[in-house]
Amino acid sequence: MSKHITMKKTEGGYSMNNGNDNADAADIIDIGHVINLAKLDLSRKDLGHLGSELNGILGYIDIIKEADVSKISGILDELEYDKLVRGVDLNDEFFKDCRIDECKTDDSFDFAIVEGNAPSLRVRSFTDNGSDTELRHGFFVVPQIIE
Amino acid sequence: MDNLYGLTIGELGELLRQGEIKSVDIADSYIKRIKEVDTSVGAYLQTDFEEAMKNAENADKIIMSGGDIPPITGIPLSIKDIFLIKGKKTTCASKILNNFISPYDATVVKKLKQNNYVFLGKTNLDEFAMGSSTENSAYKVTRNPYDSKRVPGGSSGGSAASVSADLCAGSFGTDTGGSVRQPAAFCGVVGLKPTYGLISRYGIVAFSSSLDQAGVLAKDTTDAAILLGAVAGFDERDQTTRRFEVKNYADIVGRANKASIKGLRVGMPVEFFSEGLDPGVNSKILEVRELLKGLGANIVDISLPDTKYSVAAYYIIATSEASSNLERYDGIRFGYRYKQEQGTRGLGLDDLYSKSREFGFGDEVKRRIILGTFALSAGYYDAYYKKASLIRKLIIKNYKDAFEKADIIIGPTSPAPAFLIGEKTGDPLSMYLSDIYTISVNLSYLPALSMPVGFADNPTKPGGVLPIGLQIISPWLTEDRLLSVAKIIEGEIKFRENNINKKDIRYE
Repeated sequence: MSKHITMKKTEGGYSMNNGNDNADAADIIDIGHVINLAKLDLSRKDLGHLGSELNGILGYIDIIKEADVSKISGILDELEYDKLVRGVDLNDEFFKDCRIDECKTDDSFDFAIVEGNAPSLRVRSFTDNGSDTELRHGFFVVPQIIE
Repeated sequence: MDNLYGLTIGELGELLRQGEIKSVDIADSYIKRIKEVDTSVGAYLQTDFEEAMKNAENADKIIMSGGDIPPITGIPLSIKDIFLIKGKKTTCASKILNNFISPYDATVVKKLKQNNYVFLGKTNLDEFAMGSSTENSAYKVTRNPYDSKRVPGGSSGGSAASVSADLCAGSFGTDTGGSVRQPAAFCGVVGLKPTYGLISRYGIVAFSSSLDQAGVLAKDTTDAAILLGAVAGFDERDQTTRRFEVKNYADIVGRANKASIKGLRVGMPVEFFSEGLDPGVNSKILEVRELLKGLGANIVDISLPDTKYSVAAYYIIATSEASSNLERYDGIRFGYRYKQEQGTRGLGLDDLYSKSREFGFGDEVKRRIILGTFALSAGYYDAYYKKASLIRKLIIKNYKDAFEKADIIIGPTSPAPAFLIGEKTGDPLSMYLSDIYTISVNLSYLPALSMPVGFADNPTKPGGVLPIGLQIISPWLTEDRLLSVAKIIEGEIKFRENNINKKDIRYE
């Protein structure tokens, strides 16, 4: 059975599956919840459009349910990848390729560019040369959110 | 010398080393060509001709000083706008990175610089490499050099078009589900995606880390071998690269001999020749089969039964990884930040994130983030992400079994030639299915290439033609075999020689 994305129009706009539907819970995807998890804001958008597109894609993707993976033991890990690609079991080789887990600097890395990439605090015009401080004492400045 | 832009890297390199021409002559030829033609093609998002001339002058000095000159020294190349080049913008064709300046060089770029290449510009792509037509670019439309009403393919569509329209000598792209091979097929050029882990991904903006791999787009197989050799190899900054042997691919390809086809076991997967395959594409691939048979190859029917799940598994794994990789675009440290006209006071932190992402990302990127977030969310992870990852191992096993019976596998790159601009934009699923033959290769970490093997009639343009791509897949780390077989096929078919005046590039 394919997943359905249902929508309900409420006073505040569209709300996806607000929990009052009588449909089988397992058959309902709470798209509002997913959008929230994804930190997207689709309140202005035509959610019906998205709903029907996702419905089509999820309907197609459901083909994976048919696949018999009972003989597959776990997701491929790095050692298996090495064995697969090199055709031989080379644990030592694998660990030789692993870097030591320590911080290294990239000599070519330019922190002035990183600072320059900080978003502007206000709407910038093309003639604005970025005199507003986006970075203070090495910290990114963000809009005030607590009154 | 006229029209240097039409030559291959191999041909240009020979003339350079013989002192017949200078790198500045080549750069000049490409700059003129870009000025003349790219307003019609739309391959480039940015160019830097001043730097190109500087690079070329520098290369000329190095060539003059003699010694061992690498094959790409003094050769003008384009690079997909997803590779970081220090001091230059990297937009990924997204509004969210509209003003992002790269703070460092990608390892691929670092190696190109060490080889004294000539940088022409950065090419258009589908936003964050998500797409199969380059129509998802936030900035411009790129047109197919064979029909300006058709797409160049994607996501490395700008790179493929730039090579096809002679706007560079070669190009670098990325291939997550076919993004080098499919546009190569659509634009009539060679596109190679090597084994996962052979080229460093350091400094390439991440889409789906377990599938992304840099690839090359070239005018012929020799050039593809040259470009691969210049950038392949272990990189301590990318944990997924390995100390694999980097062979001298160009030398090996140069020695490719028709006699080596005798006894070669060429696998044809039955699943790649079923419904949905364009008859024109089908008949060209069968011609290649006959050609190889004529050279003494053993054609073997093979089966990859679980590849029917590959598109579905891919769109779960790729979007899951993308939803995680794209979390970094939050409007805080770099990229686009949402601003209210009257200032940003009163906007909550969640609103700052979500509105920045809402306005910064295009529709397809948002669609994929939502799909991936869903596949990883509580209650659905096992049914989607985990299941897809297990299917990935099934598909790998299919290929392992197939390579017991076959030395290489051939088939179509794409089910049909280039489609019309706008034809599939309203139907994301049909766009996804245009990658049906390329996706299983990425899921399996395998090397594969697409090469032009002929033309189909263009149904919407009387007298026009569209290129057809042959896909060759070979076992892990056998790029030398892959390129050698391709070189032999190329020598028989002579696509470039038969390709005069077939393009549809309008001159301004």
